[in-house]
Amino acid sequence: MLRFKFIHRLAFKQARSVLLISLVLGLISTGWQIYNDFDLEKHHLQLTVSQITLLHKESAARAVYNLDDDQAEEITATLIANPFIYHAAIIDDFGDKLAEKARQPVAKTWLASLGNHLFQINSHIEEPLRINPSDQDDARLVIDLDTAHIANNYVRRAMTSLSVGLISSLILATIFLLLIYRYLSQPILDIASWVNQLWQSESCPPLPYDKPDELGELATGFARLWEERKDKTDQLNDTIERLSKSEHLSRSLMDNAGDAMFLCLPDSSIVRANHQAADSLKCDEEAFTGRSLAEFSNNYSTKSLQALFTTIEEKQVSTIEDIQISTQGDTFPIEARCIRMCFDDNDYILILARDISVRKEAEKQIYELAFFDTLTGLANRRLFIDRLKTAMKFHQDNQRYGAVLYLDLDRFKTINDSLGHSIGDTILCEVAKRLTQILPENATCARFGGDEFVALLPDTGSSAELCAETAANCALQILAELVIPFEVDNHQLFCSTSIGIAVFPDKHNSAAEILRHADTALYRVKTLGRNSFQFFDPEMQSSAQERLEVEKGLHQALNNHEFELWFQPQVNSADQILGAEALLRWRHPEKGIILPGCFIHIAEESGQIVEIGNWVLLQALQQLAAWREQGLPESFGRLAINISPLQFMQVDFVDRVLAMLDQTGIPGLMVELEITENMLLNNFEIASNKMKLLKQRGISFAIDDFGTGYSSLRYLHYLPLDILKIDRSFVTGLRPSSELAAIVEVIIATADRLNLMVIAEGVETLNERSALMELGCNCFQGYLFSKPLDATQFYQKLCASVESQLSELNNL
Amino acid sequence: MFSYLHKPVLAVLLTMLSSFAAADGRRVELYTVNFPPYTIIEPQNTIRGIDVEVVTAAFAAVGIEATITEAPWKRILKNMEHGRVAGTLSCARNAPREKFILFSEPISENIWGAVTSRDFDSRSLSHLSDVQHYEVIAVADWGQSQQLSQHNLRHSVTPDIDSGIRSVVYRNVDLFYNGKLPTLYHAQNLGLQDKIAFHRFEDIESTPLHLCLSRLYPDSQTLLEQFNNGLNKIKHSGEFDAIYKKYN
Repeated sequence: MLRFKFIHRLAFKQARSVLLISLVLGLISTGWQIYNDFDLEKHHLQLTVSQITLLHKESAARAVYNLDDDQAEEITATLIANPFIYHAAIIDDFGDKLAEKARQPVAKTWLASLGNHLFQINSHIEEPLRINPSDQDDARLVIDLDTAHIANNYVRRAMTSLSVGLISSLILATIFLLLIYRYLSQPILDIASWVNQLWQSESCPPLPYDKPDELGELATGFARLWEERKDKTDQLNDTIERLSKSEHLSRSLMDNAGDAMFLCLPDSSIVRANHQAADSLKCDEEAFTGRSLAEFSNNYSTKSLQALFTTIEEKQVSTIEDIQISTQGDTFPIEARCIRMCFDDNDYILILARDISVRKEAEKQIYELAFFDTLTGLANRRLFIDRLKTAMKFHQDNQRYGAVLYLDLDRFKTINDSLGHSIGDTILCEVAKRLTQILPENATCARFGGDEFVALLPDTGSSAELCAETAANCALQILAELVIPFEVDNHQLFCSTSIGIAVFPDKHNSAAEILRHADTALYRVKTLGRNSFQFFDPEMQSSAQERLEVEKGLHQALNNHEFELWFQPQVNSADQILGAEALLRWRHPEKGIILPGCFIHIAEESGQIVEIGNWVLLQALQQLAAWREQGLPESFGRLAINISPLQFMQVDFVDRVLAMLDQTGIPGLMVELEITENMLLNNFEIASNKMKLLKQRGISFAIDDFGTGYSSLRYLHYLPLDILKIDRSFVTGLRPSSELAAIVEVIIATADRLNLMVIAEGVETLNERSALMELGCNCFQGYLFSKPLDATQFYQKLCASVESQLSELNNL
Repeated sequence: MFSYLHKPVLAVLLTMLSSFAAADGRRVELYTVNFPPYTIIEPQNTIRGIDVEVVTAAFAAVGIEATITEAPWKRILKNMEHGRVAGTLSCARNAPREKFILFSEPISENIWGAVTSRDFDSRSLSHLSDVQHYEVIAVADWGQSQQLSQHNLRHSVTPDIDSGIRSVVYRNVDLFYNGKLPTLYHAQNLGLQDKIAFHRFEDIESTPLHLCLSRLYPDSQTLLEQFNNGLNKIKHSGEFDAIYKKYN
C-alpha cells in the first residue's frame, strides 16, 4: 500500500497546478478585459459628457443672451434627466444664476468609491458660454457628474467578469482532476504498487497495466530491465567479493613497505598514506587525507608541486629530492620516486619517499673535503679557482674589476719549526679568522697550503684605478690587523705578512695566470723587505699609492686649512669686470700648489667632495661678504661657484645654501652656481626642483663646460638656467668660419633664443676674443684678461679696473 | 450656430466703444426692443418709430449722434443695471427701475384701455373694474396682465399683440387690455384697423415713456441733461409735433 496522502498524488498536484494556472490566466485576462473596459468606459464617459455639453451649449448661450429664465430652466431640467448628471446650472455673464436643477446623487458604496478612485474623472464641469467676445465675465454652463452612478455601473460589470472567470477556472480544474486521476494517477499507483512487490518477492508478479500506451510501455520495459539487472547483480556480487580480497592484499603490501608512500591527486592533495609515512611525519594515517603534500614539504609549495606532478608520466619514474617537515617540526631530507597511475579514469601520483639523512651527511662531508681547507675551514685552491673563473667571466661581460691578494706569513716557518705544528696550526686558524673578519662579505678567502692565503675581491670598481685603490686599502687593513701579536698558549707571537696583488681582468689572462701575477708581486714584496704589499703592475702600484696619498692628504687639507680660493675675473667686451669664478687651490705643505684636476676626481670618488664643496661655498660667500664690506663696484654682478654633482644631490643642499646666504648676508642675486650637464641628465626632476627653490632667492645657474656632455636641449628649455659657459675646448684656437666657429655659433644662437647669457671660458688670445665677439659672445673668462688670483690680488685688480674705467670716462 | 447673435453682439461691442465717445458729447449708442409704433424694428434691422425719431432728433439738436440697436429687453435692463450700456428707449418709470435708471422728460405716452371689436357695446366700460363682467385677455408678463391680477380681475393671457387683436375680432374674447398706439399699429399691419375700437378707462392714467439712461454709465447725468435740452429744442422748433403727426 502506498503511504502518501491524497494531496501528494499526481492527480491532485496536476489539478492544483491547472487551477492555479487557470486562475492566474483568468485573472490576467479578466484584468486585461477590465482594464480595456475601464479605458472604453472612461472614453465613452468623456465623449458623452462632451456631447451633452455641446448639445446644450448653444441653447444655453441663447438663454443667457436673452436672460430667458424659462429656457434656462428647461435646459437644466433636460441635463439632470441624464443619469450621469445630478446637478446642472446656468450662470449668466453677470455672475447670476439663471437656472439651477439638482437631484439626489446615487448613494456611494465602497465599490463605487473604488471605481471612483480608479476613474479619477473630473466630475465638476464648467463650460464657458461666450456671449460677448470682449467681456471678461463669461457665462457658464455648470454640470456635476454623478460619479457614484458611473463607477457603480463599471464596477458591477468588472465584478461579473471576475466571478465568471473564477467559476470557469474552478470547473476546469475539477474536470482536470477527474481526468488525470482516472487516466494517469490511478494506473501509476498500480504500477508503483507492482514495483514494491518486486522488491519483496523473488518471482516477478503479473504486469498491473498492459494497455498499448506510454504507461503500458513503461511497465513492460521495467519488467524486462528488472530481469536483466537481476542476473547482472548476481554476477556483480561475486566480483565485489573477489575484489575485496584483492584490495586487502594491496593494502597490506603498502602498509608494510619500508618507504613512506603517498597516493596523491594531481592537485597535490593526499588520498592515502601508509604506516611508514605516518611514523616519519608523526601524523595519523587518516589525518593525511585531503591535506596537500606541500604542507609536509620544505622545498615545494602547492603550486610548484602541482607543476611538478604535471611533468610526471605513467610508467616513467621521476626522482626528486626534498626536505620533509613532520607535524612536530622536525626536518629530514628525502629522495622521492614519483610515478603517475590511472584508476577508474582518474589520475593519481604515487610517491615513495625515502629518508636520505645519512646519505646527505656523507655528501656534505665529501663536499667539504673537496672544496674547503680542513684546518681553517677556508676555501681550498679548487673552490678559489672556480670562484675566480666565475668572477673573471662576469667582469669580462660587465666591464667591472676585481683583485686577487696573495698572502704569505713572514717568519711562519720559524714559528712552526720552533714551537711545533700545533702552535703553527693555531696561528693559521687565527689568521683565517682575522682575514674573514676584515674581508668584505662577497670576498672569498682561501688557504692554498702552508702559510699561503689568497683573498678574492670579486667586484671592486668600474676602473682599474679604483679597483687598485680598494685592493690597496684592503691590503693595508690586513697588514695592520696581522701586525697585532697572536696570543697562543701563553706565547705572544708576532707574525707580519706580505701581500702580492693582481687586478683582473688583465688582457686575456687565465685564472692561473692571475694567481701567478699575484704570486710574483708577493715575491717582489718579500724581496723588498716584507710586511708590505705590491701590485703586479708597477704603474698601478704608483697610481694606487698616489691616490691613497691624495685621499689621505685631503683629509688633512681641510683640517690644516690647506685649501685656498682663487678668483678668475669674468669681463665684458669693454674689459669691464662683471664677476668672477671662484677656483679651488690646494696649497700642499710639501708639493706646493695643487690644481683641482689632480684631486677633485679622487675627492668625488671618495665622497670627500661634499665636505670640500661646502667649504668652498661658505668660503666664497664669506669672501664676497668681506668685499662687500670693503666696497664693490656696481659693475660687479656675481660670484660664480662650482658645485659638484654629489654635493648638489645632497638632501640638505638647498637648506645649507640658504642658511649660508643668511649667515653671510649675501643676496642671492650675487651668487651664480655652476653645475655640469651630466648631473642634470641623471637627476633631472630633483635637480629641477632644487634649482627652482634656489632661484626663488635670486640665485643664478650656469651650465659649466657646455657642449662637452650630452648637450640636451630639453633641460635648457625646462630648467631655470641663466648662463651657458662655452667650454675652453671650443674656444682654444677659435677662428672665424672654422668648424669650431660653427659649433660656437649654434651654442650662442641657442642661448639667445632661450634668453641665456653666454660666457666663453679659456679665452687666451685676442684672435679668440674677436672671433667670439664676431659670433655674438660678449662675456669672457681666461688668461687673456687675467689668470686666477688670490682674494687680495683680485680685489686690487677689481678696484684698479674700476679706476681705469673712470679715468677713461673722464678723458672722454 | 450663433450667427443670429453676431449682429447684436457686434452692436454691443460697438456700443461699448462708442459709449466712450458719448462721454465727449458726440455719439451715444442706445438699445431698444420692437415696440411699435414707438420703436419699429424692420427687416435689415432698420429701426424707426416715434420714440426713435424723437430721441435721435433731440440728441441731434445738441450735437450728439444717437444710434439705436435692437437687443433683448431683459439684457438691456441688466446691462443698464451694471452700467454696461448708456441706455434704452423708451421705458416707463417704476420704483425698481429708479434704482439704476435716470429718466428723461417724457418723450411719448402709452394710453391704456380696452380693445374691442368695432361692434362691441362699450357703454358699460368706464372703470377698469368693469372688465370683470367680460372675457378679458392681456399680453403675458406685461404690466397690464400684472395690473389686472393686482385688481383681482380674472383674465387670460396672449403671447403678443397680434394674437390679442385676432382674439377680440375672431374669437369670443370681449376685451384685450392693451396700449392704444401699439394696438392700432398692429391692427393696421394685420388689416384689422377697421374692425376694432379702443376705449379708455376713467381710473387708468396713461403711462409716460422716457429715454432711460443707466445711472452707473459714465457721465449719464450730463447726457440726460443734454437730451432734455435737445428735447425742449425740438418741441419748440415744432420738429417734435411733426414726428408725431407722421405716425398718427
